[in-house]
Amino acid sequence: MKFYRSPISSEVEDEMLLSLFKDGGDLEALGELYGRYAEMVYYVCFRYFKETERSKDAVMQIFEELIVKVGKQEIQHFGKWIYVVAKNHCLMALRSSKNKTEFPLDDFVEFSALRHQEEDDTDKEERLMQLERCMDKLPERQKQSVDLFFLQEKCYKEVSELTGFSLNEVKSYIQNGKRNLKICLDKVNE
Amino acid sequence: MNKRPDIAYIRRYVNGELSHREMFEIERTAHEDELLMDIIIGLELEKKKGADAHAVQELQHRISDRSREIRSRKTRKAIFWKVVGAAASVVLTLAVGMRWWITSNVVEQPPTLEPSVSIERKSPGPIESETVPSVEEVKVPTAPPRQGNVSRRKGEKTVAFVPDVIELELPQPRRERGGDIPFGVKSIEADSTSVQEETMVAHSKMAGRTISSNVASSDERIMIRGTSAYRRNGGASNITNIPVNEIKSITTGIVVDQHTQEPIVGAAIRDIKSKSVVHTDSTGRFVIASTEEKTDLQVSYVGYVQTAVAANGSVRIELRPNEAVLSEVGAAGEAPKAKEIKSEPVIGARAYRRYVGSLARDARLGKGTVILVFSIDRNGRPSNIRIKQSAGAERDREAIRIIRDGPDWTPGNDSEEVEWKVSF
Repeated sequence: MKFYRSPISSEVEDEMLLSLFKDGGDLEALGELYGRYAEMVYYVCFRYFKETERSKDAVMQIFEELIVKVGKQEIQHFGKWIYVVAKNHCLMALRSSKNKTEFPLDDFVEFSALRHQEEDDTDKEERLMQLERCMDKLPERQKQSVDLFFLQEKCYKEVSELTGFSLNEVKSYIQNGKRNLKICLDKVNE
Repeated sequence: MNKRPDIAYIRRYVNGELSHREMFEIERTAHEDELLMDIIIGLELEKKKGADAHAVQELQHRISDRSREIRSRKTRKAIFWKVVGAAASVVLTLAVGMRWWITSNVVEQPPTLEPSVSIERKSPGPIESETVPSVEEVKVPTAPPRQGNVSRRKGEKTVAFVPDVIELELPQPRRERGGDIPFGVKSIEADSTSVQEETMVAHSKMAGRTISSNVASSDERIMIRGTSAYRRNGGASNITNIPVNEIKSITTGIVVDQHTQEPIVGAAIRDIKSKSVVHTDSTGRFVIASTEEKTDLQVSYVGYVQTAVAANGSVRIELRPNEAVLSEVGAAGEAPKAKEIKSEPVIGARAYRRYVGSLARDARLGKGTVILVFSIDRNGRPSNIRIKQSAGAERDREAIRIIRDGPDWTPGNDSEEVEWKVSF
């Protein structure tokens, strides 16, 4: 979790609160610790449930899970860990609920497709060439969007203004373009 | 520099309040960071569906209620003697309560008959310790009724009230005598330099523990008995692991909003050394015990910037509202007079020094001292870290890494850079 950080917490304090609970069973310490991440957990739940009340309930259910789980696991970064617990909770809840259609597959996002590894210059050169070749194979709209976002570092809004695509189209072109690029690059490397 | 926005910042993104460059940075990072992506999508959905402005606040309350609820349920399972003890104290409470009621109704009654742990002195002066002889007297603090109770005696106003009581076995009554301000808010505000301090120690024999307390005494006298710091020491649910005979100091104080000067209810005060945590009561006050003579307290509350202060007998802590949150609700009004505030580590300079020191030692890079200069960005992260005094490339790099990845800072407004020494 490089990016998100609860505004009033630091890892040192999290560890302090966590050990208060683990060593002494101080539930209020756990409550306080979880409280710092409640907003984050709430929005993660909201992303999956799309409902206020259901998300709130989920936040509380996750807290109950926490009381049992925390003692059993070695936790290094509470923030990171609680995110995984929360996300799993939401996915499980959605899977078990009968109405499976409410689960938006479109929203799924693939990550770390473009990972930068340390390579020497010739490899880098080679990779860039491949990337260029793969870029050329992309459908025009995806190519345009990916180029503007990843290479020219424009934000979605600018990409949308420059291309005339809607914001949602831009997001999906970038997403799909990224996925296609990855597939293409993997193929070349095989 | 790695930027680390919080949810307020992401919300600004969702509302389109950021510049193109800032937007790009978030979007780009979200491609690598699942959690960030989830939060952005969650916030976008919330915006589309209409936000529940109080959802997060409500959750905070539900979580803290829940954690107390579970705890008191556990407490109920406690050992037999606790039940006996509770029953006995109820009987005593009634008996003493009766007597107290009677005395307080007799106008001419001399004050010496007041059945309380009377550690009050007419002339201020240090008292080493005072042993409270009878069990009955020790139990007095449980006697007053739970609601605000004002009784007049000899033209004085005595106010007794009980702050939020979380546990059965150790209620926390507290009394103050403070001129005509009902809850004596003013009395704690008394300038600490002009306040003479008396340390008073009362031994509670029945509970078998020593209670010591720093009582500030000035023209207006403050008496605090039975404190919230002790609820953690209630028998089996002693979870701060401070054996009571190891308590070396007690700090009392009030937490207020820096701008409105209103007391803040439910703020958390943490003793950095002994790690105990207490919350302010319904009048913003707290009492915290520590195993150290000198320690630092860390005060936090939702919507305010976390603040660290040195524990010092009695303290008045002003919390600065968190601007990120304020700008969300569009706070208008007069800007408060800008005080020069230096940037300081959120966890307090002392804890921060220890943190940095231990990492530097663990690095095992041999002896050497690196002096770094850096500024604190508005997210509380050290940025623009430069070397003022080098101790070799390896140590320099490690020192920068420790500061860069270390705990947050509370940015000051003096626009001065921070200088920090890292000794290997």
